[in-house]
Amino acid sequence: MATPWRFTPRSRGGRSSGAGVVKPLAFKVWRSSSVDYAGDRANKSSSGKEKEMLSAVGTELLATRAGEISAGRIWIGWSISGLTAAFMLFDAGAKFAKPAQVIDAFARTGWPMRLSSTLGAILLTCTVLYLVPQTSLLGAILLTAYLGGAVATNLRIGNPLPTHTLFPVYFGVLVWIGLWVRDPGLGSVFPLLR
Amino acid sequence: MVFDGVTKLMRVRQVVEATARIGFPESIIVPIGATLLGCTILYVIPRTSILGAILLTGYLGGATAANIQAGSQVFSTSFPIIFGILAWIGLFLRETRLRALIPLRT
Repeated sequence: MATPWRFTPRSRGGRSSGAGVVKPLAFKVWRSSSVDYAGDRANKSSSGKEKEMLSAVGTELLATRAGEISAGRIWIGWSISGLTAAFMLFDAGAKFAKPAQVIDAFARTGWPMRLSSTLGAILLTCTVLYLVPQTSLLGAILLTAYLGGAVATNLRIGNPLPTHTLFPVYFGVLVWIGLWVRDPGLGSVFPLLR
Repeated sequence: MVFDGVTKLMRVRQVVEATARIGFPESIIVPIGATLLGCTILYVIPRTSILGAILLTGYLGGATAANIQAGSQVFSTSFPIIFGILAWIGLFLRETRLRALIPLRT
């Protein structure tokens, strides 16, 4: 049976060849990585046979939803999320390894060095939660709080606003943009309630 | 939250003292108060409530960090965390769509 979800090759980024034709593998990846966690309970709980029995209205609804999700969009979203998370993981790793730069930064901002590993562990946990699709929203919320702490730290010692104090804010914005782009299920509540 | 924001805007004596104690310059009390009020207003308006909750979370994360740095007692430090949890529980209860997304996507 033909799948009820429509695919939009238009938004597949740089791929200009074969418009309208989708490689089976790419389609499979797209299906499992997006539709399954698009907040569609009916879809998730029903078996393959039940899916076939979906009413015409239901099929139409699914097709409309899938229209909002394209592989290109998910790619871009994961790229933003991935790059942001990579920086966070690097930062967390540095807090464990404690190179001279970290020791200097802790002394300058007035944080006791004994909290370095704890902060690293908190950041690592939040970032992992952010990367796991099932807990990504919780992870984004916790990362926001962590980054708020970084803003306060910079604010307290009077660091320059655009280059230091607002730096974690830029990251927070990237965290949420990445999540919003890669996760269409978020569209109904973020940035505005619909 | 509104109370806290307003006292910061009015630069009430206790607030100024508390700010100095945890090591923040007095000049940023008013901007901090305005930020808090802005976030709280967004949180109260239904359409922007999620955005407001996210921004409040960032603000409260800052408050937590400030308390830890100042070596405050466990109670003062956990206060903003408790407030953050309350803010999200409030939203969670009044917005059914959030329940499908937090804490685990169903």
